[in-house]
Amino acid sequence: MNLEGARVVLRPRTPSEIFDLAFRFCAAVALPLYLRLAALVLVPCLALCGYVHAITDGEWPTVWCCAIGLAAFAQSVFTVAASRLLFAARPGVLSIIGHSLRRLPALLGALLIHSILLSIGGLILIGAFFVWVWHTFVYEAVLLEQQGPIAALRRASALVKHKFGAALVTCTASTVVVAMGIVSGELLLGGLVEGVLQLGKPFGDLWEYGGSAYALVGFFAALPLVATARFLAYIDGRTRQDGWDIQLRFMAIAAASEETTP
Amino acid sequence: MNHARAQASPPGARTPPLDTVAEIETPEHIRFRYQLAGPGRRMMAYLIDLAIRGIIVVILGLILQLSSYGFGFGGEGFSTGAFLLVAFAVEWGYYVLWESLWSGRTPGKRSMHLRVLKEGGYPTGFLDIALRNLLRAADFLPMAYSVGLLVMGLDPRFRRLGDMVAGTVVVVEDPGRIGHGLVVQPPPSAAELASLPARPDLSSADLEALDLFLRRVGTLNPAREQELADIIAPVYAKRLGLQYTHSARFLALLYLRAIGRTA
Repeated sequence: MNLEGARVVLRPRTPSEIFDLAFRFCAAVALPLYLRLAALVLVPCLALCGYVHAITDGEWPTVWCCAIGLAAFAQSVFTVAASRLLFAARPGVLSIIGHSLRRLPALLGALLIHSILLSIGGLILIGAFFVWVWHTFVYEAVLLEQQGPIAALRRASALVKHKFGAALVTCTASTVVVAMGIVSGELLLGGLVEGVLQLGKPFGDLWEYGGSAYALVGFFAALPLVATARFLAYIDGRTRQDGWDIQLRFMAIAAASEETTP
Repeated sequence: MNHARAQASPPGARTPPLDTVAEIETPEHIRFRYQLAGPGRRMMAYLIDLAIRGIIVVILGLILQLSSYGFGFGGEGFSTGAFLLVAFAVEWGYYVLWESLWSGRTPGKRSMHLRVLKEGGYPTGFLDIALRNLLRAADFLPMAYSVGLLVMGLDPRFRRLGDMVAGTVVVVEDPGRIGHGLVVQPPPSAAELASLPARPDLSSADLEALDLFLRRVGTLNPAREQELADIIAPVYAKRLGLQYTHSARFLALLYLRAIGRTA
């Protein structure tokens, strides 16, 4: 791994700092790539949700289930994209999607087992809560460390070991970001169509029907930020665990020493 | 915060690596590093302030309502008008008042350890505060601070429009904790210390790097610890003309000698 070529400064950070950095990373580094990926991945996901809405006669719970399922693939694409952007100069869109597709069976397997464990955990009061936090980095384990479904869940739990608080903040903040995306989409786009353009409610209403096209747009638009923040939290864990920041300092001193040695 | 300095720009890269710190150099060439406050912390501070403002408006509204009905001050029209005036004053005056009187802080900012400063690192004046808060309305557009968030994402110092116009920046205050002393186990023997020069010639960057490494010894995997020590130990051994058997131990002893400690 080319640590010296990383596009962010590698050092231990607090969870709030990680989200701030993710925000900046998305806007300053990743925007052109993310826009292309959004056109290739998020727009078809939205279209598929629209199709499901049409064939189910506007049954929003089914549409949301479909959106959550598609979000798993969308998040995997943006996780791979963030990882490639961090260390590579110009990651290709097709190679990112190709890698995500190749790892999709393992990811789906891991998420299926995760869902079963969540359901079982739900029976034991707060068990689901622990399962939810333990498996924070399941995407990274499957996609970046090439683990199989069960090994990925074990690895995700190992990554959270001794860092439960930070992982809990990451999970909670990610959920809040998605919720804010949904509400912002509804308020901004819904307000534009209904309030400014005076077109009524042609694409549904989140508060009245339980869903709308605007809320879906907000939901999918929040995924790149969520995937990036979780990936940067994973990098933070690796930096602490493997001393990447120390390695970079030592390498810089060694390089400077070589330059000055006659 | 100063950990960030170590990482050099990648070869051939157009921009330096991203970070959430800003470096400010005073006219005396003294450099300060501030951690910048991004949308996450600022949103939390805003929500706390929003709740406080809400409570103030409700209490003042109740007082006005009671005075209107209980004491017969001009009837319902008066109380509604006065309530709107109060709401307006709280909306526009809350931030200006707190940030002016409390060195760039509001209760929400204080709870999140945030402070508004001028871009040069010195305190803000009343006009700066008034200007940055006047432009809140522009940042809020079209709703929920959408413009402000967009501008913040594009600015390397997380400034919203109000900050840009007023020349201010929101930073995270470092509580300035004093780190505990470094403990080397087992304690160095007299023979070990005698094998090293009394004051090895190490720069502040060397000492910072060694301090960072030695404080993480025990939290790193032993093999990884060894691997890291092996990167730098030969460099110091060559530079100082020394020999060693165990690289991590050698670095610990070297550090203790350089800072003038014997245990």
